[in-house]
Amino acid sequence: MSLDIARDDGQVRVRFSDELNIYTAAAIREALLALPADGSPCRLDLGDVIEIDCAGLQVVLAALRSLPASTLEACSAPVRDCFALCGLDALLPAAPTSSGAQ
Amino acid sequence: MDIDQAIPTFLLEARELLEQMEDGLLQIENGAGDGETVNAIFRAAHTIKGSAGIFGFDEVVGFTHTVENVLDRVRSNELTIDRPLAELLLASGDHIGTLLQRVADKVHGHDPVVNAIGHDLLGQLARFTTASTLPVPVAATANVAPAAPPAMESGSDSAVTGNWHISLRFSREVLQHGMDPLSFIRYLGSLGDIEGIVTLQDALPALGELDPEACYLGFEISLKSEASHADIDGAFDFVRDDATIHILPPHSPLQAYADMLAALSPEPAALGETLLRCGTLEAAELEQALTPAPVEMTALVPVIAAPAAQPCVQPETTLSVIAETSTPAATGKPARDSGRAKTLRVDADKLDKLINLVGELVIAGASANMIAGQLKARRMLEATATMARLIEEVRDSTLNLRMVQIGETFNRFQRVVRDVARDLGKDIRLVINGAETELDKTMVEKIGDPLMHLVRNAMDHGIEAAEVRVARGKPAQGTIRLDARHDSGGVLIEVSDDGNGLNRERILKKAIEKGLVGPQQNLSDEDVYKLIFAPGFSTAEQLSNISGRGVGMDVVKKNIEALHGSIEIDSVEGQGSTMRIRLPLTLAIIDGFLVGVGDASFVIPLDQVIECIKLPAVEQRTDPRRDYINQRGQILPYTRLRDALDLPAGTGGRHTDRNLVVVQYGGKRAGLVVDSLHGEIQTVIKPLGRVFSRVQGISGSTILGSGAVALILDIPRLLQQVIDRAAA
Repeated sequence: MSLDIARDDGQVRVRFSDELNIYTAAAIREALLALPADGSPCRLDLGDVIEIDCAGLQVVLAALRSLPASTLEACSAPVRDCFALCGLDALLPAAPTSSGAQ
Repeated sequence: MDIDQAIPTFLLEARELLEQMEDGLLQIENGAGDGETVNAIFRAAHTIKGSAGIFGFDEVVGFTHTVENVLDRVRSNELTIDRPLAELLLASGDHIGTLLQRVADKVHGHDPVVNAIGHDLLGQLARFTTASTLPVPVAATANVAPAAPPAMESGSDSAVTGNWHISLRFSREVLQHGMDPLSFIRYLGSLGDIEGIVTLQDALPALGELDPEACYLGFEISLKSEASHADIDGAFDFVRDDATIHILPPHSPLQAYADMLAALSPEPAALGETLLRCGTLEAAELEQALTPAPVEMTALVPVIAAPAAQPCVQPETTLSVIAETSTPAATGKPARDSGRAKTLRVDADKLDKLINLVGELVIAGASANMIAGQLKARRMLEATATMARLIEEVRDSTLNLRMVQIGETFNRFQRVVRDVARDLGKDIRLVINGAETELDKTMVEKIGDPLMHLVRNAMDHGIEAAEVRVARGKPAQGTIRLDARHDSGGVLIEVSDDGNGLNRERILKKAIEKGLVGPQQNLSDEDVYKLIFAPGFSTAEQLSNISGRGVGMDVVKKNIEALHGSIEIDSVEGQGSTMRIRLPLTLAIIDGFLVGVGDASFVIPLDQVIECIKLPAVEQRTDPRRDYINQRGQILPYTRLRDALDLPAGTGGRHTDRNLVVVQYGGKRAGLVVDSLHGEIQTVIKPLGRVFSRVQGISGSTILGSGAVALILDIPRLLQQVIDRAAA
């Protein structure tokens, strides 16, 4: 698991990769809490997450609530599946390859 | 619950399910199955897949899924199980067994052989999974599609929705217990379509307060599925202790939804919104549900949370079920499935320890009784008598715990007979009787191999080829019978066939060749048949890979004797033979009859004692070589126990040799002459040490109340000696 934090254009972009699960949830929570609380909007990039479970989902949901103006950005297929499974599709950003058939 | 600890349970259950599957397939193959059998097979495969999915055993899931698809088509009458398909499904069942074994052995990675088999089977199964291109199946499916739930014509109190509603609240600890709530939802998706789901985040704290290893989420799910209540409920077997689960069948009464909401939240109305969002209820329905009914709502405790008692709740029966489970009286946790509710798995060691303790208790009780007798304390005697009766009951119940039906062992043979018959190119059916006969578990386990030998032998040597049978005027299909029943305090198991029967001349010739008997010896049929139990004896003219290597029968006999049993043969040439195995019920404690010879005490198993008579005075004086009396017009051979066991000669007192105990075993009777009779005694069998393993006529020892040791007589052996001598 790794977390890249970058600032650009007044935004904080947090890039998650690898696993987002019970084993990494605690560390991710710590890292997110350590973000400077200066009120800049936060974008969570889940494009490189290869696995997510309930614990990972909870951290993301809590982050979306707690971090100022935070939104999800890219989401990998496992993340999309997980959100769709839980009926949380509304939180997902528009899929880059949306089929339109749905 | 640690998920690793659940794996053995999963494996055990999966194997049982596989056995059910196999039984069902064999039934169908024999034309005995019906729709319920197909359902049972399907459910078995389905449950294996589901549970394996929860543990993430993908190999098992993947393969079983295909099998399940085929079975599903059988279930919806698109396919019929014919011989080739039954064969394929049986092989698939075996393969699932192999995969499970790999799980059990913790084998990871690829095994080329297993993979090849799996691949081959999948290829064959694929031919059955794809629907035929003809338009026929459409009509067929339409016909057999499970009847739409009878519209409960939206009576004012039931929901319109045809979907199941499932409400899940997980405990905080569920993640720490190794389970991922999402996997259960994913699994639900395999039972049907999740048409609506709302993830409840009310309990989720802000990031700062979040314990990343606690679970805060809840789910409200609307599931469109034809699965039964038991199937849906079964999805949560492994998380039952870690979750509050409500399952409402389609068209449940609105009151049931209201009760559920009231149970889950202090503000049912707010939570009710989620039911709207996941599509379970419509606004008007919710409103109606939440309008206080004339009945005090709090009285209707939400017992739907407890798994419903009905193994399979069909929509038709929904109303009554809900009514039943909604009564406040329905407390406790009703069993999901009657079969499972009645059994409890207990470690065999614990049971053995209990039986040992009961054994000690029997001895201690006998000792107390004896002391009371010596003290002539009447009230004490009464008390010990009561206690003795109770101990006897405890003993019987305890021993009963170990008793299992032999049917399980018998049923294994269905498959063996089928497969071997096919290998041999013979048509053979197996008829089982007395499958419910109970026997000690150890015995049941140990008798399996000898029985297997006998059954294989009967198929290979006994049953003739079809043309021979027809020529002999027998039905072309051979029959093998397995019978079990209780008989004089033991169990009698018979393996019989309607084949060749033993060939006396051939056995005799072979025995003379091998030098087992002299050419001049005159032997009874029975004695000749017994020769086949000699090591290395086989009359088979051609060796086959089924039997005929002569390594069977002597081992069979040895194994049976190790269980204190015996085997005899009945055979009529050209008509078939019967192997008769007698086994004691248990190896631990028996009712005995205590007798004395000189200073020594001996125990005779009580069920082998017919009667005790006084040895007629004239016999006591007569020639000791004479060894039979006329008992009510019948010849009764007898032996003096003193002689049979080489005990020191009696003192010649008038108490010597004056009682005759008539014993029987396996339909034979004989008398044993002893000095004194002491009556019934509960006997805890203590095995004799290895030093005494060759002593004939003694099968074990026991400790008397006085602390003295008494030997238990091996009546079958002694009887045989008496009869042999009388015949000589």
